[in-house]
Amino acid sequence: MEIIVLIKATPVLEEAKISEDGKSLDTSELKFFINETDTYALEEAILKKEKYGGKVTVVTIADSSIENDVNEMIWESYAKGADDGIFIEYSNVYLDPYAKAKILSDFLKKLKFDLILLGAQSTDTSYSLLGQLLAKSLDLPYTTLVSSIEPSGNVLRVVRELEEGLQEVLEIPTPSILTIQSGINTPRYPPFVKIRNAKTRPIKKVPVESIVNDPGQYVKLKRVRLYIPPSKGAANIIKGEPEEIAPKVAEIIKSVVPR
Amino acid sequence: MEIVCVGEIFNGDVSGSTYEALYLGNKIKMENGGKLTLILAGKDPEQFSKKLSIKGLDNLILLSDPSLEIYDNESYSSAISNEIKEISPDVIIVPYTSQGMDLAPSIAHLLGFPIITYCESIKFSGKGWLATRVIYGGKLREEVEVEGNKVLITIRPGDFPPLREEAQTNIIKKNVSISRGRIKPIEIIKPALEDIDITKFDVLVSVGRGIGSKENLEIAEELAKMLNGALSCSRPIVDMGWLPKTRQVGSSAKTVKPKVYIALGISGATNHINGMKNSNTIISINKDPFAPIFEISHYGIVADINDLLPLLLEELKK
Repeated sequence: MEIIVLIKATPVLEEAKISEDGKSLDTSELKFFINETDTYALEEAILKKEKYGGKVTVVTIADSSIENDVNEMIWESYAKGADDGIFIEYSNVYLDPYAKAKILSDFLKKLKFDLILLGAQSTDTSYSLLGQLLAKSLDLPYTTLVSSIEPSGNVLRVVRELEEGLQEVLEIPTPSILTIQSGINTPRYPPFVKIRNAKTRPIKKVPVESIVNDPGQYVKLKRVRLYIPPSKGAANIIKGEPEEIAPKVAEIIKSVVPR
Repeated sequence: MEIVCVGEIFNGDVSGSTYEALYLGNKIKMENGGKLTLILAGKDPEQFSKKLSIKGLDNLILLSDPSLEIYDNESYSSAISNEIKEISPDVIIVPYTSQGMDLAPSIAHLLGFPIITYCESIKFSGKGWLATRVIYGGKLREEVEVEGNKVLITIRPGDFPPLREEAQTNIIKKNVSISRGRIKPIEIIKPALEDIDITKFDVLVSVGRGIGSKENLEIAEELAKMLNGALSCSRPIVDMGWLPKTRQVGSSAKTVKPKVYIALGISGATNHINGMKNSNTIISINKDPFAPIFEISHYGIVADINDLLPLLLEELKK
């Protein structure tokens, strides 16, 4: 199976800083990693390759200002078992899921693949749209929140995770796009030596302008403001050395727990 | 203004999030005037016509076809968007559930509407729709604008109260004929019920990613037992296989409302918060002082679970 995995660089965010434009995140001090559900999508692709043969290609669209983190993300994917890595680079433009779907659609329609996998949701902007929009653009069937994939003849038998522990089983032909829910597998941690060796392998860099002119024109969801919500915080905040606060916390628990 | 909500049938009943979508639809109607329509598709949606006769809802359209027994995005989006075309709405509201996440982009595509997912609020700015979205796990908000007067939005379960007051609603029943697309739905599997029911406990000790180690999980369980409560968790604990799915709290898992909810190392993703925010007393311990869980906590303790939890257990044993 030829599988394309879309991975997104997402930051680990504790205290957020907003840029002066009031619309973007100050990323200068942030470290970016593979988006959580994308790690499950990547693992699922590698497991399928190991079982059925084929090839795994990771593709990411990211701002060139975080190039180092993106490179590391792709090297990590190589160390895990990905065969090829493609980094579609852009700069000085905000891209929403519509613009990214347009870019990926134009890029991927020239490639041969059986399956496109990506995480069901990103931890940063949480749109859960890219896979669905891309499927519409490429006229492929899709489904979301996938918790199991089993090839059965020329279709895939797929399980979707619903609410309250329910699951739906469906059949979907290939080529198709599946968005992957966390917990579908246990993503591997490649040993350090594999990551080090992976760093000698090339990453294919593709400037976004070589795919579409002026990618910003495809943005439909314009971000007009980004802000930190006014914090009311917890009604009562307790902080200090663990030895000092443990008795206080115990008192609170005793006072509210019904006897 | 024409407002359309897309309802859903889940596990044999109208989903709770359908009533929440109606609440927002009715709110937009009251602010702007117009008509509110609910579309419900399924094999036999007529059975819900009485409970969906709701004050504020002008039209209830029930689309039925045997092929709509089990959901798939191709059949459903085809049936629903055909019907929506007739109404030519300004705004379409779909719950951001497992079905809505899957279905809404297809409906938007078929109708040529822009879609904004995961919205907390929405208003018409005069030249377009302006939505507020909760992003970065609740740490940031963004305002997103689409040009033009048409939009489809999805809303997060638990963000709005339900609209349920019974009244007369105009009911329109339609048999639709759906040709099956490329996806073939097979069956719905229900979970085997072999665990305790966490919704029945007065005290829940709930663990998240910040719990760190399995040893701490045991301490948390001991704490739960000591308080006559049960051990529950957020999603990452289930993903790691440390606790079964039956223990997961969240708007996509189990919604709980205990007297006391003790959150250990849970940052507070929206899905989790909307599954427990109505607990009487919420006590949260997290080492990240910016964790969104603190926003809804009555007591917020900024500390590392690894250090505090063993000491806390000792104190409570005294």
